[in-house]
Amino acid sequence: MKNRRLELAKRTFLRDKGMWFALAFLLFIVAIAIGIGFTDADPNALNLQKMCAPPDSENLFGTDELGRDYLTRVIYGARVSLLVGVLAMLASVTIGVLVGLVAGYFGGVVDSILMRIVDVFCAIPWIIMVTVVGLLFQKGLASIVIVIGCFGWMEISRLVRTETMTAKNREFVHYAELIGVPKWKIILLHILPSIFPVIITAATGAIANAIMVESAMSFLGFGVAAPQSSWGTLLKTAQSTLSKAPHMAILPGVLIICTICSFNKLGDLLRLFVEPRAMQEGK
Amino acid sequence: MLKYLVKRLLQAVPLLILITMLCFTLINLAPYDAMDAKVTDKMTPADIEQMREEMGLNDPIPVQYLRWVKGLLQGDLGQSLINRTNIATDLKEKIPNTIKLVLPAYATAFLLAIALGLIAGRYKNTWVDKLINSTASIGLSVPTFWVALLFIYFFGLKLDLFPVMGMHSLGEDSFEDFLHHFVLPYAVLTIGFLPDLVRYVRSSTVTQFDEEYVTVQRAFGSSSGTILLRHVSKNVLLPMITKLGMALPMLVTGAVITETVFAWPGIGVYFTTAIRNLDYPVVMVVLVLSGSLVILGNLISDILCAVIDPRIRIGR
Amino acid sequence: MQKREVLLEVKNLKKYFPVKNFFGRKVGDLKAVDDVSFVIYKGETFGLVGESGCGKSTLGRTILQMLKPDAGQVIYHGKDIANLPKSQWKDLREKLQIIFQDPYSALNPNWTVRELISEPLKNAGLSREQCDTRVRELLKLVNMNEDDMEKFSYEFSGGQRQRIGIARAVASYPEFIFCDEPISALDVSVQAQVVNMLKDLQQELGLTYLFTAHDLSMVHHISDRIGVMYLGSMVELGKSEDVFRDPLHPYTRALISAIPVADPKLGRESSRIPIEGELPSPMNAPRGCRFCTRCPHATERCREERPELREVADERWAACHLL
Repeated sequence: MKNRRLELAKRTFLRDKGMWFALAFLLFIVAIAIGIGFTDADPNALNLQKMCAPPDSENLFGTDELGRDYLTRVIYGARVSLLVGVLAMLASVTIGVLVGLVAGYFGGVVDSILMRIVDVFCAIPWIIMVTVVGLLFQKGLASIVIVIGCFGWMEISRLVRTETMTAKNREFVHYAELIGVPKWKIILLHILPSIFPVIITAATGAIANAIMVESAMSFLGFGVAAPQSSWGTLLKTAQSTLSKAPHMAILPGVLIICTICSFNKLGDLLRLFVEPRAMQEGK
Repeated sequence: MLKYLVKRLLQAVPLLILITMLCFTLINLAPYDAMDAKVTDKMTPADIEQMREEMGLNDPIPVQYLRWVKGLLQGDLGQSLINRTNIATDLKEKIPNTIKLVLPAYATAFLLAIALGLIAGRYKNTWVDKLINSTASIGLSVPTFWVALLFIYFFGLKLDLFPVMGMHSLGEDSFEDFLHHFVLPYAVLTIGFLPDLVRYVRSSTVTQFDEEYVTVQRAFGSSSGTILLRHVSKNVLLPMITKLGMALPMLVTGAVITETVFAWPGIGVYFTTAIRNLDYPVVMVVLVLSGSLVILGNLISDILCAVIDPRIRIGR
Repeated sequence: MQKREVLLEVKNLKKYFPVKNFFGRKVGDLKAVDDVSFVIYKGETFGLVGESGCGKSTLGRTILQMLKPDAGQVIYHGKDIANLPKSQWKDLREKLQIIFQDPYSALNPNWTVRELISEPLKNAGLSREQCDTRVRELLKLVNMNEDDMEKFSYEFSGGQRQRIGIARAVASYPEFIFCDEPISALDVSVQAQVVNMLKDLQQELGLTYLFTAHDLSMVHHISDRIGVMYLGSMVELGKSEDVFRDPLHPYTRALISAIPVADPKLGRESSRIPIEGELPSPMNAPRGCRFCTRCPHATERCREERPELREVADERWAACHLL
């Protein structure tokens, strides 16, 4: 069974050029974001003689309103955006999986209470919740991660709950219960591995989502604050200098789209693992 | 059915209470409050203290909360702490503005999505489908505000076709003027709503075409077009109606970002300004409003679902 | 026959599942096991037959306490395990085991054979080395190769998986095993193989089985005594030979007459007795005898009064007014 899944995914991967692009792009952007730390490119080096300059041979993507090299700033922005994406994903996956597992496995009152909490969180549009909670913390990377993480877990927990309820009714779980294996062990050894593919799929979606939310928050001014900048912050600046330096709006936007698109595509590939039936739709 | 309705409505009440309590607590946990936004250099500490007392900011949080709920139940939404305006009056002015923007945009996206989705699903894996589907996939990854920036630059600044700020020019009140201001944010918002809906329609069309009844119709010699129009579209569109219920809260919160970019005087701008100023009465009201709309929207879509599809049993 | 030792006694066992309407209100009970009493002797195989949905599997699982009974007792070694505090339960647990119908669902696909069979051993507190030694012994016992230890369950056929399941069930030296249709999901060619293995293990290890299956001739072959279930209750009980040769309850008669005969020329002594009508839902079983809606001999009394399971002859029990 497992081999066939792998094979299916591999075949799709080899055939789908978009998949190649997605993976290559993600590797590329991560490599660059890490790599730039080892060069002497300084995102904060001012050049007041050359403000809002369009692209030329010296500054491939022009300069910003303070004459800083825009490409360098965008790559440093990638660091922030990707970091927020990954960390927020870890936070929301952790919460979502925990809540979903507990609610799905124990059921009954525990399930009802947890699912009502999920309902409450879901009833508040993310943009509102995120901005309100964003106020609680000093502006900064950590607070953004917490905020996005704490409000992106509901979908994951619902998904994990459903999967857990299915997994719970497998006979091998009944068997472990019969011979008296402790509940935490059953969850850890039997249920978690069975729903692992679902978690991985949800995680890629969560990264894409977190990057999107972060950019929107930063764009509205509730996100990462200067001197740190993410793609969203860069776009916010670009808005105010739009008439003078339209080139500043292009690069961060394109990168956001490509990154999110790639993560979504990756999620599609992983979904084949979880439900090989989805494959048929693509045929 | 009536019993079910009442029960669902009653279930919604504790949910709302929980939401308000959660928000109230969160806002009060913030390390600064509305006073910080009002304090000027000229005020003495005594002045500040007196103002705090006046605004009731010194009372314990549960007291503040109860006072607020009491007001809410009496239809008094309270006053903005910052500009001392009545929130209810503000909302009466702002909500229609938002609706004027969101409703046409969502309706357009909805209809367009049905057309595109059905076509893509019907001609699955042809170039038409690939074009629609991949555009929608990419569209899902495009931040609305970025589209807004591009539009502002090209249609506003470069070509100077449309104004990029506000809903009316100063002193101007004509419908043409409104329309002129309306085009860009409307287009951006429609593009924002579209991809998700298209993908939804497409995938349910594809699923429907795999159903046995389509095979049967084919065996009877019906053409694909007939099957699409007579049978598939019906089964695809009915569930779409429930999506309308879910979209209800969008009327208030669906355009926060677009409104902000275009300085559209709707709820979005009102709300983000309130957040920046820690104007918690305003924030609370918007939260409760959007929370209630979500709950109401889910309720409506459940009911529509049950009414439309006799197979679906309400409840668990 | 000498006095046999009772291993398990089931007394008035009941297991109801609440049925809710779509508003979530309870509207009734599905009486999956409704007041069942019988004993299982040490070393025997007790076969349980009946249509699907009659409560065989629920009965077995309720005896093992995988499902909490709503009423009644299960007395094992003088203790009522249905109402036993958790602390005293622990030692008894390994003595009661189960073999599942579906060998695919019964084995965690992410685990190797070694891990699968070690699960009950590890849980009993054996060290890794002890586990491995025992797993090797067990694999030999079920005619499997030691090299299979590191393979995953999906690499085996249904029959092999079922043998892994058997190895796991006998790993911790149990006394009683509930075989929940262990051969129904298997190819006919391997059914006999698995049944014979179960018989051999019974001899070797002194096991007691509660065995359910659809296939009556297979139950006949393996069982010492047989209980016939209909809509959650026991309608006939007796020695396997007796029940098959001379079924008493009309339902049993119909069931047994439905067994196909291999050689059509031989025919059968009694012609086939058809069962009329549909199986009533266990949610609203008839007020009187449960079988009265389909019984060709049903009288007014059958419709009004529910017959008790009583001893109608030596070692023969049946629940029918007409006997």
